[in-house]
Amino acid sequence: MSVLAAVHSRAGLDLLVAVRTSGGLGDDPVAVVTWSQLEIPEVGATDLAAEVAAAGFAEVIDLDALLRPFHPAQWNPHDAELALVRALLVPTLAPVTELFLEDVDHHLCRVLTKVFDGAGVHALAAGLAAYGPPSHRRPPALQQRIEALWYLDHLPGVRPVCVEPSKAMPAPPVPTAAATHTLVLGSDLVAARLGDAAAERRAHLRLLRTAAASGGEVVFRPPSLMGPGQLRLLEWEAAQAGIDLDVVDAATGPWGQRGRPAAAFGFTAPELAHLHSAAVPVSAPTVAELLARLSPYHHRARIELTIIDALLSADPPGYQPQELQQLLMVVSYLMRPESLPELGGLVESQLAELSPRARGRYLDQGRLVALGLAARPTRATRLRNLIKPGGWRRLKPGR
Amino acid sequence: MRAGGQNPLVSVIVPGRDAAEFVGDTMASLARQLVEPSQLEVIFVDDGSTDATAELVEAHREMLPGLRVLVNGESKGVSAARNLGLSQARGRYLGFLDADDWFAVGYLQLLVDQLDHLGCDFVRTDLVLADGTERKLVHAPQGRRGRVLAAREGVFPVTGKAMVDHPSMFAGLFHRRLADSGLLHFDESLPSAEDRELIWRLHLRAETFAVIDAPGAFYRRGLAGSLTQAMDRRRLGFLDAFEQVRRQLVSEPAADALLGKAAQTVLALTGQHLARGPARGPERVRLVSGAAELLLRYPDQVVRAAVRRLDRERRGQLAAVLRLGGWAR
Repeated sequence: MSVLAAVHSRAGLDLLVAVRTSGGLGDDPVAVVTWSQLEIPEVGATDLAAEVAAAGFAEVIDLDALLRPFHPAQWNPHDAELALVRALLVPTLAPVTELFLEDVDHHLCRVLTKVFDGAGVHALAAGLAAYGPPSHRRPPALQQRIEALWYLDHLPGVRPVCVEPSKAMPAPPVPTAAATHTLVLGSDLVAARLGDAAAERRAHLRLLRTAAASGGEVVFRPPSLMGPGQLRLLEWEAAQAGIDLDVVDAATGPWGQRGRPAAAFGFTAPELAHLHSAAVPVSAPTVAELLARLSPYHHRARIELTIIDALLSADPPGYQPQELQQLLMVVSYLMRPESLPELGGLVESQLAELSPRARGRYLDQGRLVALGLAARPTRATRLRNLIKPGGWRRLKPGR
Repeated sequence: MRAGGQNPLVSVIVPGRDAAEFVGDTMASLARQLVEPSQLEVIFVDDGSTDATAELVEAHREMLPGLRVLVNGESKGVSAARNLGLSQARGRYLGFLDADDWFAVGYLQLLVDQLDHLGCDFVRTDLVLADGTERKLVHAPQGRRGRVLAAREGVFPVTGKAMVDHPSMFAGLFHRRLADSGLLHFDESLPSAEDRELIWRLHLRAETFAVIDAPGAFYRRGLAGSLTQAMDRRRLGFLDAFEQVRRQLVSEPAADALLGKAAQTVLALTGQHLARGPARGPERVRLVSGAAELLLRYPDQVVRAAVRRLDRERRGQLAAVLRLGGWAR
């Protein structure tokens, strides 16, 4: 009996360690598969496999090293090879009975669930996406194998809506020692499919400018998947804009060994939620804009953006876990109704309790209609909607 | 540099123009090459960049203690940039890397160890084509790995893929004696395919080489300015390169066999360009007439033998060239 875990990020490793500390991994030996999500793992500054080894796990399987020069994202063994892969991957372990997978819908985790097809699956989710539906359509056979969702408790009083049971692990606490810097928390916008590398850099530069304009020293925690080339370029562009950046070393943890910041800026980093709860002024100036143009509705970034936007734009201000829970349930259902069929009835009642503002800001009317959660608009309503953007002239182009 | 002003172990020449988007990755990879990083000299030649390329390279001075930056005020071309870097290089071993490509961790150290061990003039490796996270391994066409071979063996087999058909200079490392004898000088008159001409020259004039099992040289595909994307005269540069190759071969003792290999490569490359390029238009006309003109300078029996080896598909692609040169029948 043994456990195989798979992580691809520092946050995923921290969560795995928290699960082990809580006794969730049991007493069996644990092997950990690691891989890099960087487009160019060869130039990555961090060595996740070494960090896993330092954390004291029984065995580390570094997929980057095993597969090189190919990229781990390319790994897709044929069905006929699965038994061979199973035998070669963990030769020293007894049969694997449990899988703990960071981002169970990631292509490589799907491969591992095929390789170890008899093992129970535990989903590890370190970010805010844990509170929403699967990022991809999940085969029923896989969904049936999921025994628990382990997540970091970024939103006390709010629970993930997708998997039961879900088990909360303590998130890294906000430092108590007050400091004077402004913290800018980067996000992997490319990985979230919110733009290419240049767009990600531009978005971060815009954020840095806003943060710098607010005064004080700017400390920047880069997105975990921003390569060294893009980071250098961003630093240079920031310097040209007169911003003197202090870049946080990823190895020093989420807060970069600095005290509690005087203010924070970001996109979707879960730490924004913690800082907001800790009464640190938090700003995410482009989140509403990103959310407004997010398409399709089941876009993987929707939950993270919705949470940050809902927290920061709450009216009246303040953390209302029950309202957030209702909102997340409805949004999740609208995103992937096929994954949450049992929520259908409940969503109908939750929907009625959402404020008109929340309905207008976060829900898609067409989707509500398609799912039978709202009445089809009358002809008069459709006409009114047509008129609003273009006026009468739009309806009568000949005039 | 090493303490006491000693020469570095390896010099890598990196030409670059408007490469700000990628050069940081390239420099980061160079910082992780040798066990003793101070033994690496990186000579970056900025070839008339109008973006922040040179400043970004300078920003890597801390992680690359052997970094030197040379600046061409206006662009003089990649060959001239490499030659400038070469003229300044002090390393015992010399390598090349373009500003958008990269090496695997420890790649150069592995090549240094093999060159030290084997004592040959140069070593070459497989290379990896990278497009996002998609990668394709391109094998160096030599089955004997880690063994010293006569450099000329890189031209053979005449009828199949040989090391001269694997023209990537960055997937290898070269003893500086080759530079001292002029063998690493890039022909600045060539608009492209300068590495093809140089690889032929190396395999004809150097003494020994080896192919090493170290697939750690990564080529970034799909960039807007790359030759595979360009539809300009640089696409036809291989014709000039193979004219230079022909001039070198005519005085060789076994000229016909070597010319046969070169003619076959010209036919293959022409066929590829015709298949990828536009179906009509002036570029196609220039390619067809240029290829026919070049091949007419080769001995007729050599070209005919190469044409006989073409498969049906390639013959179809080359029909216009074969008609123009009188080799269609």
